[in-house]
Amino acid sequence: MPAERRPGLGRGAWPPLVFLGVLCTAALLAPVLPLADPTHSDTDALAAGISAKHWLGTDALGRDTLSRIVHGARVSLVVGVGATAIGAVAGTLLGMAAGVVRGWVSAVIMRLTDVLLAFPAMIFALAVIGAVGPSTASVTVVIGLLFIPGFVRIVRAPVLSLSQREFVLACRAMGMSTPRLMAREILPNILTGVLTYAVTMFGVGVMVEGGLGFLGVSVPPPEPTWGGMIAEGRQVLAQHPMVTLTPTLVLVLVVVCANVVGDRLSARLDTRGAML
Amino acid sequence: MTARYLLTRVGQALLVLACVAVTTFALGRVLPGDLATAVLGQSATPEQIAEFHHKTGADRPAVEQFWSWFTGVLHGDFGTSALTGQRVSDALADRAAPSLLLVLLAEAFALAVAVPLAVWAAYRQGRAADKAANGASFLLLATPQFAVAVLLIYVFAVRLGTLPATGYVPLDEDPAQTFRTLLLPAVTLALGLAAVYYRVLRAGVLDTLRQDYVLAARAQGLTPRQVLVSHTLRPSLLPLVTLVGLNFGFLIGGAVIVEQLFALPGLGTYALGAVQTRDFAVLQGTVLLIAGVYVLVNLAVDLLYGVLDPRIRHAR
Repeated sequence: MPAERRPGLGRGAWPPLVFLGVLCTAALLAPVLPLADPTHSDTDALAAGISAKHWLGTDALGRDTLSRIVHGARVSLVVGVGATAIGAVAGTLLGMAAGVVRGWVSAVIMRLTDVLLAFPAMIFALAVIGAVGPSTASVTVVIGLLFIPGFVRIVRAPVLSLSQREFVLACRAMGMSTPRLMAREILPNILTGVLTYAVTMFGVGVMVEGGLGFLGVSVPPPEPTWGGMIAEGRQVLAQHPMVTLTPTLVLVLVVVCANVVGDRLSARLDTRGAML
Repeated sequence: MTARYLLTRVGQALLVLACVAVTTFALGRVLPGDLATAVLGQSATPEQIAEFHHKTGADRPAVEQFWSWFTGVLHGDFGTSALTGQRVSDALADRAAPSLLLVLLAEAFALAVAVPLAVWAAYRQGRAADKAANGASFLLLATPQFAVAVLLIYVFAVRLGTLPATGYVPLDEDPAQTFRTLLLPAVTLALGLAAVYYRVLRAGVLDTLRQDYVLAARAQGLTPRQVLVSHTLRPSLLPLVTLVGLNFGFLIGGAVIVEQLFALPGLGTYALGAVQTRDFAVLQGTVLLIAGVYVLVNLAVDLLYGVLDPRIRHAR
């Protein structure tokens, strides 16, 4: 087996990476791309199908679906990446601290994550966003907060066993300070696990933002969001299913791609398989 | 040792619940907007609003409000909804039934599909059936609940017209109708759950199939069915038990989107409405109940683990 293993992520990881790359580029360049105005109603083409003028059709108000998907991607991708970054950085720091510094530090961190896990997530998100107002920043921070406990748990378990290993004990015996020990010795050993988990959580973040948009509490209209597009399309679901199905398909595709990349990454980085 | 462990765990659970209670209360106070204007209307005079605040106790200091609510909860009194005047504990009892039925049905569907499929796929690892099931689970994992719900509504309610898209009939009125109204939302939740359960159990079974005692059982000449069911399934079930428990606790009141979409009068929609109307007694009571169920199920799962796997019990 190890002899056949090729370097890199394998061929299967390329189509999803290309798709995500194209979508990110399009979202970044959305203002300069020759796209229709995402809020402009083409009254001659209400809920129209695919045409030369509207590549992915229009919604019930005659707004260009392709343009709305690309502009909606700006919200989805920023929230997905931002929330994952918040969860990963805060969760890794807290998880390492809980694993290395035992006693009350560990106890406080673990109880706080328990509280956050016990709190019904959607209600928490709705209440906090209701309190501070819906915006890309508030949605990102709330989802990021909800991601922290998962990262804490993913990080703490390997850190607990790492901190008993000889090389860590040796560093301690030589008088290395705890922050330096965490940064230089522990972090490199858990980074691959965090990275793999983060790729999957990016997909979850896109899904959660979609859910909030669907409930109407993500970034408010007229800014298009995928969840909002799916929710609006429900009004005409019986007559024009594509209005709902197109953004749904794009959302599912993004999450599938993130999961495939995450899967490949963990297969590539997990060396246990090679030893069997 | 065991008694001490149990006491510590129960103490931790109570501490977590107390923190949830404080957080919910604090969250309620920072929400902008006022229930008084929702009840009395925009044209209410300042005197009327002040009187409403006095009547509902909203003009008292926050700490005092929290303490009177908290001691009430300890006596089983969750207060009354300032919007409807209904006792929160009565409303919670009514709302718990649809949520509970929904989650039980979803878990049953998910396990009925995922367990046989996972065992079969692991046994036939790498074959067409395994690959198809893996692909399906991958796709389901990536599909958000609300998208699944919209698709199911489109197919079964709009196109075929065989199942109702919204509404709920209480169990004591017409059980068959209750089941019909819960079918689509339960399947929505079950599809997502089944994908997770399938992946976890398949990995577990693959791991178990490599064990020496499975080889021994095969060498004894047992049929594949006997080996899979009596030697492989039970040791592979442990991670699944945790997940089933966690999701049970998570989905009671956590299925907000599904409850909202199918217009089920469950705990999730009750809490959502309370956030929107700023009905604090309702919000605090519902969140505390949901968190209580979650913490309790977690505790039960941890203790069950020791029963299912004696090695864990002795390791402590």
